[in-house]
Amino acid sequence: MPLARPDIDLDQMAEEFRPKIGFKVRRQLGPSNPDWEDLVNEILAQAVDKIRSGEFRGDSAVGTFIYTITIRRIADYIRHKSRVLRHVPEPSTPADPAEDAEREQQLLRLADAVAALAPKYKAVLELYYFRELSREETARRLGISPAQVSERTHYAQRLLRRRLGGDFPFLVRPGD
Amino acid sequence: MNNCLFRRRVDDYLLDRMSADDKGRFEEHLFQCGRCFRDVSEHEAVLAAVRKHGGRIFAPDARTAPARRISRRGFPPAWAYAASAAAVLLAIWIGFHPGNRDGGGVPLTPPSSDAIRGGSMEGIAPAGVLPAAPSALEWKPAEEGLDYTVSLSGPGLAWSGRTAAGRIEIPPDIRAKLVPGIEYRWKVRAFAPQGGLAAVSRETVFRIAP
Ligand SMILES: [Zn+2]
Repeated sequence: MPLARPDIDLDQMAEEFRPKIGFKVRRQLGPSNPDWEDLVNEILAQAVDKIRSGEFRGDSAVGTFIYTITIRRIADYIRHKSRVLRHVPEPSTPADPAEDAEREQQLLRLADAVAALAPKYKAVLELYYFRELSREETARRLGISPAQVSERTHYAQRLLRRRLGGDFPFLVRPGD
Repeated sequence: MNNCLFRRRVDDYLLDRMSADDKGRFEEHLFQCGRCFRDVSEHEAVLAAVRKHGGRIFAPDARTAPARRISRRGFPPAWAYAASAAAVLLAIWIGFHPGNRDGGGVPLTPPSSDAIRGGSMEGIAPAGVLPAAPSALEWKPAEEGLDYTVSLSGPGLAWSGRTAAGRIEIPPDIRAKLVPGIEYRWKVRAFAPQGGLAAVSRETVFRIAP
């Protein structure tokens, strides 16, 4: 029987990968899908089992290993869901109103902070994020280079992090 | 400071300007690189806030007013949005093409109205169940000369397109990804030639009958 990898701290692994798995699951299923948290727990449990049983032998990075489990499980979920819906139209489960209200508050706080940024950052966020112009078109309209467009979104992110501290980022932290 | 080479793709990833292969590689990298993951998470949050509240953040009066004042005073009360919506309501209806015009219809309203707050107004658009994957999305243009950005998303799918017409074809490769029984959402934003946001639709949901 293969041996479990003794060098992997499973608690630490769960702590590191829970947000990453949550991020991927929510992007794939939509942020209001009520099943996302269960799916994250299931994926983590699978990863822990496979590491404990020695199925993960370290041929790839742990991240790649867990990413693979994640995308397979999501694909299964979508397949199963469409099969179920083929037979029984499922009523959509309403999202948790308390969670929605909290998320809305956080988004408002962040929007406030964005509104208070210097005009040169706001202009980039307006054209590139809000109007969804291409990087090149955004650059052309602002008279800067396309590389500067990316630099400014990154710099805006750092300013917002400084301003919002521990509240940021908040949208991708499962189980908070 | 994150000097990772993947960092420069963060916005491409979030704005869905990446091939499927690159996207897979990028996501796999996120599972290995804490700094890129943090960057993506933070950019995603900013993008969500801007998409949802951009109409207000970038409104002309917000642009000229001192930023600190906006921040301290918070946002206009809900009745102010409702009043401005009532005053300048644009009666534009969005429907699916072909068929099911009733099921998918949502009004476009000016950006200063409550509709810009999109997701908080749940359940306003009737959920449309379509007999087959739609080949196009269609709406009634508000006035001449507007530019429309349409976004369509769902599990494993995020697509957006631009047009000056009141209709946009869904590319065949995107159409092929629509799975029966799964919910997809779409939304239209109209921009004036000078670049100002003229109108935003509420988000609407459709599902292809199994
Ligand atoms: Zn990286």
